[in-house]
Amino acid sequence: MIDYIVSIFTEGAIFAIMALGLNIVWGWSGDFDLAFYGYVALGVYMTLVLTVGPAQSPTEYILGLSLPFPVAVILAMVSSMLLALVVGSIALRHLRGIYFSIVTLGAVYVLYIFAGQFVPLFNGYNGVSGLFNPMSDVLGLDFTSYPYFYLGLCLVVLAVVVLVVTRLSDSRFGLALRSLREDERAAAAFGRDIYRTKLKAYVLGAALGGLGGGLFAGYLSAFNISAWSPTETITLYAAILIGGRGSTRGVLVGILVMYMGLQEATRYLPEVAGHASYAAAFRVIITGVALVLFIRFRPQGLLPERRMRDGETGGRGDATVAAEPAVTAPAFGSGAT
Amino acid sequence: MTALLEVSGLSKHFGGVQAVDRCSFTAAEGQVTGLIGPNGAGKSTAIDLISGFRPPDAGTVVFDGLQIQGWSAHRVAATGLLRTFQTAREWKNLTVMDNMLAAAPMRGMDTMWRAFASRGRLRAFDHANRAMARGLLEQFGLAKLTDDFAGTLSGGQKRLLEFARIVMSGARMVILDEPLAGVNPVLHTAMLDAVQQLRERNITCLVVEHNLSWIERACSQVFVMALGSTIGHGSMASLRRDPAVIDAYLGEVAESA
Repeated sequence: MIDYIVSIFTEGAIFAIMALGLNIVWGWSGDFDLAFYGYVALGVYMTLVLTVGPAQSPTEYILGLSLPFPVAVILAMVSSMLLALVVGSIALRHLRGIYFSIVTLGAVYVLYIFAGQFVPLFNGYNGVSGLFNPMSDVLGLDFTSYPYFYLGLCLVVLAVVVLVVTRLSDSRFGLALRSLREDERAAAAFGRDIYRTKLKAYVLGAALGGLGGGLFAGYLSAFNISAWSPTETITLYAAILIGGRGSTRGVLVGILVMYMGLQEATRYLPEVAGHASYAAAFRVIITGVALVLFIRFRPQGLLPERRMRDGETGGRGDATVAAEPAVTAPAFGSGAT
Repeated sequence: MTALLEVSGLSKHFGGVQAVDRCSFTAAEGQVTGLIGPNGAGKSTAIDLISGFRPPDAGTVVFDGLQIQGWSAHRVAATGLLRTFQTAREWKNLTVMDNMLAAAPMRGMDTMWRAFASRGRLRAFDHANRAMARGLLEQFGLAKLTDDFAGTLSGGQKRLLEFARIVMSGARMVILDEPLAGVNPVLHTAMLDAVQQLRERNITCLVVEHNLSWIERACSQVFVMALGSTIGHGSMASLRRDPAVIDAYLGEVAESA
């Protein structure tokens, strides 16, 4: 039981990091990016090939280094950022709305097919494996204490990510991004460089995707394309929308409700002979229904992006009054504007 | 009077349509200049060309001694030449105060690393901006709405917010594209006051508007456009007697307008 709780919180923390990254792109900058899970997957793959050592025949993959886990995660983030820079610099230059989404969807499917079919890259359909309990040897942890360590690691990284995105959200960069989301022509008319600002946000979001992917690699120890598909992005979108688009606290709540809560709620479903995956299918159905209901009745989400009152204290980070006083703030400070 | 904005030979075609055809005019520093003309005369396209929202085919735009034709919109705005749109374009889901703060010159404070660097400068910057914004919202009669979402404002209030944002941005000149569109006629005089407020702050104005009596009250100098070119200029009173202008635009309305 306790193992289960540890694992679901570890996954929750990892998914929260990814969702906070996607929230920068969709919640602040306003771009419905369907390539996001590609940056996560690249983060997972890169972390694996940088840590598991050379490929043994018949497996094949690039690099095959044995770098320390933290170094590999950082390099994985960098590779996700580089990919986002390429995709973003093409897709963000002139395309917006559904056209941007189509191009990013195309980009992620290119990566998906490539990873699955081009064996020398990431061993094709069989994927890369062999990252067992990273850093356990250095830290002298055995397999019973390791999950607690990894949960702690993921929570610490999440806490740092929350601090970073909160500061960014309250900064002038965050305000500039939101003005682009609301009306980018008006923002350009007031001197904002639309393309560069959006591209920065896009690459930053992908960095968090890669970071989440790196931690996911250590948690999963193996990865292949059947473990992920671009539709996973929709799960992250559901969490953001239901939690509160643009709001850091909202995204955390969204992950708690839509990811961890849903896993928990469908856990005791009776088994049906011959339909092993029906609980997973059930979760997808619930996600879809919840999305429709929220879009119809509460599009701002459970904890909407906050409206900072022009308080006497001045700094955006200092202002304390929320638009919805009924909502009590969790430990991680202010959400959005 | 020196010209702050000097447009000459500006041209733009869309397919076979010559939307702007060697259009030339000037806007004198510190003055309110009008730009009028029938629908389809190319006024809005000319504004897009000057403000960098579309690239011109030919011609020069000199603002404050700088050749800015073909520059991107944000670069043009950075020189202090701003524009508005035919509809008020507030940032709906931001508060009125945030609309003001987002319109202010960022002075490098909007870079990502600024969010993590020493917060002293950022705080001082924020305090100064908020103080200025509060003062302006007071003057434009929007102080009570400071914390409201801009999307909830009335049409007239949105226009006033636009004027407040222009002052906030530190602009030297603004091109107002049909500032009366969507504004209750009762507020036309208030809009005149708002333009005067800009002038008092030494913000040069170029106003595109169809309401000729309002143009007459607001502008010292008026240019008339038709079929993409400027066909006359002078005071509104003199233009009413100009045969070319009457023929192209005023027609019989000239007597009653």
